[in-house]
Amino acid sequence: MRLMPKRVKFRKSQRQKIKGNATRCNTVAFGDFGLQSLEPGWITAQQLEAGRVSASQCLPREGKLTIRVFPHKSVSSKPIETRMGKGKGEPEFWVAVVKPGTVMYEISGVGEDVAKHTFNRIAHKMPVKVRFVQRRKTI
Amino acid sequence: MEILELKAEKRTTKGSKAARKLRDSGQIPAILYGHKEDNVMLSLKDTDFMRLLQTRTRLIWLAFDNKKESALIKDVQHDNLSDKIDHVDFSRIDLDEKVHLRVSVEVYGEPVGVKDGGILTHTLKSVEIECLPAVIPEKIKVNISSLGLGKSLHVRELPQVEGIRYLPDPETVVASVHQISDVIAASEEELLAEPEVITKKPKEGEEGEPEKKA
Repeated sequence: MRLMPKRVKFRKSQRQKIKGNATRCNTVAFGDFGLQSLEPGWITAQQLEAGRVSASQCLPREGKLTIRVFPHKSVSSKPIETRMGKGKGEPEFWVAVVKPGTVMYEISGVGEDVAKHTFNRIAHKMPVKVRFVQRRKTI
Repeated sequence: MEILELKAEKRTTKGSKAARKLRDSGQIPAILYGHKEDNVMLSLKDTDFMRLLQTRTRLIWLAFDNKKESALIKDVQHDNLSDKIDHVDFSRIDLDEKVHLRVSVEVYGEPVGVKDGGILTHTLKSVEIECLPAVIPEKIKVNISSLGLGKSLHVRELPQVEGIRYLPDPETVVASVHQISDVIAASEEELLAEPEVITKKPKEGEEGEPEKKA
């Protein structure tokens, strides 16, 4: 899976600050269980993919994993031992920006025990603190 | 059907600052509206309301100002990080008047298609219904054990209960069983490719898009 945009308006982006909590993508919408971020941070495409691979190894066939975030932001860096100046570095990798409250992964079709075990494995690949959440019941 | 009673108090303060103070003191801000009468701002004891929510009841008697009004729990807003209740909406109703509300759809049984190697996708987790307040169901239960591979369960096939009308399009899919599609691995070329830059200016000698004349 290619975890980077197909088309972008600009190749390089400014770093930006991550302010506040997530006001969208903050509830379990597609599955029954979710993995919610508790900290702001950047999740790289490699970390997202590592999470997906670790989940696919322990999810049974009927389980379905949904990734709710996508790495839209490019992060550039300068080569080592290079003098400062001469413009911005080249894009190195792509990241998804997450705010506290963002639901990053969702699982459906399996029981709570399996979902907890799977999310525990994914959580080890994440650079932010996360927690297990369930779909909220209709009132 | 027994209707539970919830005690509430009228509140005069409004705004986010006042609401935050109220929540810190163990209360939940709420509002009662409907029937072309004035809105009433209320505050509830959070422990009382949590206990009421656990009973899964929707219809209640709301007691405030030495009077009782029949009301429907219309919406409950949560803080998505702490899971605490932020605000509750109540709608005034008449007990002999039909109401519109959402109830959850629960599927049970192992579909035939899943035994044959398919996977089950439960799309419609809740459905909007019209019914009298006295017959509001807690949830709609559907047996999907006869669902074969490549087949879908539609709203029109949901169990018909007397006094309940399903409001979505009858052809809306509730659940389906389908084949697992393999994830196509990206080729090396695709993985190394850079995204197309849509604002890129064409270099000299290269043919760009013809400029539009104003």
